[in-house]
Amino acid sequence: MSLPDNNLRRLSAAHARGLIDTPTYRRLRTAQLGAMEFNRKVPELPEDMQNIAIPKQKIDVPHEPRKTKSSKTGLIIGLIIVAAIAAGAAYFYLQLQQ
Amino acid sequence: MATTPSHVWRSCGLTTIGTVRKHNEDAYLALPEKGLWVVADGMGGHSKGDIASQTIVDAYADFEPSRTLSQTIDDLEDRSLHVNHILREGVADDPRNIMGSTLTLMYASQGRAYFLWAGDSRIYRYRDGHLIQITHDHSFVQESVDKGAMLPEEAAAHPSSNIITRAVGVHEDLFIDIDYCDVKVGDKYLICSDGLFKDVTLNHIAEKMDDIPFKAAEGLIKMALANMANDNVTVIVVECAEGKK
Repeated sequence: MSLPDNNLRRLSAAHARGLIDTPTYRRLRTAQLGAMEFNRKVPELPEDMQNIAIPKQKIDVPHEPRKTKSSKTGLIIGLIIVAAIAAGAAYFYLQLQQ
Repeated sequence: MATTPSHVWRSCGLTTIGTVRKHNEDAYLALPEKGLWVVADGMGGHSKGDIASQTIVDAYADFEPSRTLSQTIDDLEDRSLHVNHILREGVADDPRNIMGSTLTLMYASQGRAYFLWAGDSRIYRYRDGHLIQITHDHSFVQESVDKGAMLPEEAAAHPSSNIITRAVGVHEDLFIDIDYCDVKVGDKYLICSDGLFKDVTLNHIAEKMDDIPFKAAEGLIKMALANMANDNVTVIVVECAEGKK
């Protein structure tokens, strides 16, 4: 898994490969960032830049998150409450028996 | 700790010389209140790598976000180009004066994180139990993998794995790569030099990223040192928490 392709990546790739000069790169990037900043639809890139191949990282390491201290604490508190209820119920049951 | 309208950023950066090197040529900067974090790794093959990395970090020390996002990104890029120019000044007289360093930075603003980099220092994102690599190395082995000339599993152990193809101060023209992603509360970002991922497996990195930034950064450094840390190691762990509404 990697981040999805986006126009900023395409533009920087085009710039590094010499397909666009620095002023053009800055102008097109400003248009993208301006649209992103004000939540407008990002402008399309010129046609020859729309299919620029972006090298992909396929590194995705899944990891089972550890139980946090707070969830452990919650579990312990829960067990104490259950034990207290059970002890109380047993006490009242024994009182009723007598 | 820094607050934006909906996010609070907490971070911790640590660096170590490792167990083999005589100098620490890494440098880092953490400005959570400005939403900026920078890692620079001076190159061991070049003279004065520590000066190069420190010059880069110093160039961002007085960073202030500009009026617009575009101006801010231009400013972040311009600072690296300026350092490139400074580092290149001495090279004309004597090519042995080359000073180089990687640059990897993260800038957070308005619910998004922007990543700018040159070289092989990396940024990872840890979200919902998944660690993914965001940056794409500018290195000989990565380019060989991209061309299909090398398998990814061969790259790490390749004798040329330390050759980088972009760095600040090495070439007259510097091209900074850029990417971005939307930020989610609970996200953690790791900005690190190559000393970390050469000595610590991605599974172990993911495991450590469960912790709060200080413990995660400390754990990662300890793990690298336990695995010999042949290189300098620098990590910044950045966490996004829910901010004031």
